[in-house]
Amino acid sequence: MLLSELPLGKKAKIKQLTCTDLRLKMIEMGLFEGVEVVKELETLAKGPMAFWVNNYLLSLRYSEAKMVEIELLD
Amino acid sequence: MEKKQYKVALIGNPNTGKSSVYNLITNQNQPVGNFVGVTVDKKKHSILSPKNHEIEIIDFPGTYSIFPQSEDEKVVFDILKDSNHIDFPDIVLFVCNSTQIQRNLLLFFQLQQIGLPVVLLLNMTDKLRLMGKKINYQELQKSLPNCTILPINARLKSDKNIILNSLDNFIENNSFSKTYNTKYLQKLANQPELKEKDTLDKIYQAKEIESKVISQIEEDKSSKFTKKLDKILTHKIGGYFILLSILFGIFQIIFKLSETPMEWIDANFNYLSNILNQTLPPGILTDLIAQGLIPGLGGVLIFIPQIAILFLCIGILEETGYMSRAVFLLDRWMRPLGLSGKSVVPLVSSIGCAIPGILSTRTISGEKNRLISILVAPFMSCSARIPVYTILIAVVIPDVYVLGFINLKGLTLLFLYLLGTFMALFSAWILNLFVKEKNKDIFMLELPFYSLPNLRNLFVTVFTKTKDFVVGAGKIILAISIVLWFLASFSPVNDKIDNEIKHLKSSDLSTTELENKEASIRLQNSFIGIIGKTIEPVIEPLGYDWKIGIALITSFAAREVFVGTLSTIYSVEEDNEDGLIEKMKNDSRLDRKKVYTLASGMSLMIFYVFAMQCMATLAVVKRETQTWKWPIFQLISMGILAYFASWITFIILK
Repeated sequence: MLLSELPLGKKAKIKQLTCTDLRLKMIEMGLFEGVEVVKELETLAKGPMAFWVNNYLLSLRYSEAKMVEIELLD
Repeated sequence: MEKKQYKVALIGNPNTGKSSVYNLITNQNQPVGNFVGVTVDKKKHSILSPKNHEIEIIDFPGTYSIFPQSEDEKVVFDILKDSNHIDFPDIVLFVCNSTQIQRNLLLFFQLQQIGLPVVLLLNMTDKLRLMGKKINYQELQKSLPNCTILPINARLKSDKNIILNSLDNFIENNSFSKTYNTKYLQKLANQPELKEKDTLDKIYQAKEIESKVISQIEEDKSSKFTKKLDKILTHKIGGYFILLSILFGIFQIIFKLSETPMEWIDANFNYLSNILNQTLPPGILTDLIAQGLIPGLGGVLIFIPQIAILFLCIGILEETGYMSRAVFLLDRWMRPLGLSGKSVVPLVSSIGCAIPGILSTRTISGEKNRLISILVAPFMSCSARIPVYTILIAVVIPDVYVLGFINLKGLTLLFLYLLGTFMALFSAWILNLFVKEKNKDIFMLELPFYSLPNLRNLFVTVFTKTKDFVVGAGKIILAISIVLWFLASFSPVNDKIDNEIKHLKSSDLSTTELENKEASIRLQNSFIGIIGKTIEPVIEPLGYDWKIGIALITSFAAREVFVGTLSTIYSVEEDNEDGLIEKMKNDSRLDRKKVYTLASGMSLMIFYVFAMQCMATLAVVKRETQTWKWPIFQLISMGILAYFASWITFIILK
């Protein structure tokens, strides 16, 4: 499953990052293997979405969230 | 012995309260010497510590890591990679958001690896408490043995000395680093794999520390509050209505709240001008002061209330965390226009002034998105246009109500703002078709917790930005007013004037009529009259006369000069008690038709919506794009657009 497909309010664990150019920035922002995220906000028409990552709210574009493979929890 | 000045860098992630710390320790009693647009990338301020050491505080832009992704983050990297750089610090004050230890410590470890001595300021511990969490200071100190840790609250004045004392301690114990490991940065910069490994190692270390020192002891009320508020403010549909209402509300507040203080300033300036005229001995110097300087200066100062309120509103949007939500909501709709959601900040700031607006595009990492944002920002109606619009509306728009309650004057103003915004978005869409994409834009944006604005920050922002406007515009306006006054008061063809006046005196006109005609002849044959008459054919189709032509030319220095120019020209021509608005209303051409009609007035306002009349902005665009190509492009294309749009407006309304 991709992070972009995570339903609102659901929790997931990051399996891997599939991008090269955004990798470092994602890691710096706290997105890396093993981290748990919860989807908190979404917008219309594949607009940005926001996730809780280690106690803060991080928003990503749809295209950015597609670069993160996840495993659905609960 | 020569006294050493110690360089102290303030470094930290965005949203850590870094600027609050800066404002706290520099006290801002002596205003910072940075005109917006001169020192943009970093702010500097010298202070004396309690033990009389000279300390220079350097405030760096907020960044998540030393390795840069966007222009504003590059500043940190460029200075820290070179220990001979003039701004390379002796000590780092690292501002740490205690609710985000893990993410913050990454940057902290990078700084330590360079060998920089770091004092860790643990800020926002009050927020941590609101989140129901506790921090174990002893454990944190044990995990970071080589650094001074100070829990602070940047909102408390008393914490200023705690910070400064720690710097004194540092200096007196001479615990500076002798060698720096800047090679570490240079080595990693071009090796993505090594950089990633290094980053991950540091983050795992930070994560471990965080899990050791932070513990949840109560219910998390703070996140709950932000979650609840976000359900409303960033609602898929309702969020947009709220956003529009907020922008509309700000617009209303600016114009309603500023009315009274503006009238007050206006009244006092007229009073001052009259007093000077009566008390100073008559002569050329009095004329220069009463006709040139005071009207010109009054033209700027009257807009202080509007500009201050505008910057206050923008400041509140940023401080509360709402601005990030606006970015979040609008990104999807800005992208088809070649902009990023992050362009919202530059565009909204440009309603205040395009210069800080253009500077704030540095946070946009995609070069194409950034360039387009820079190019279209000057279309947003900035505060310098307010004087022009206000005076023209007062002269040409009748005081009537549409539908019984909407004031036509207010509606015109709203229309001009919307037209500017529309043009910014529309031209972005056009540019999007032509500008090439160089690198991918990264969005990844932290949405900070909602919080009450820090009053000191708000005050400092409003004060410095308003001051910058007044000082910057004031200098230009004063200089231009003086030059104009000379050009309007002297003539190269004195014989011709004498002849015409002799001729006039032989006719049987009343004394007042004679005086008016005489003044008018003198002005038309002055240096400025001759210049104005020369360019008149070019602007005639737009409905302007030569006086407007002069005001248009001087406005290319800065738009607000328009009002000062007209005040100077008119007060030279007719030295009576009437205000500028009355004089403009009464001004008529040779064929007795009024100069300012609905058609010519609207045409002029449209010209100001579109034209690129601001030297300071052009200079900033040149610096930010590193080439003259783009400012020249803006000047010419926006000028042509303004000319044709005004021409069409005049033809339709004539």
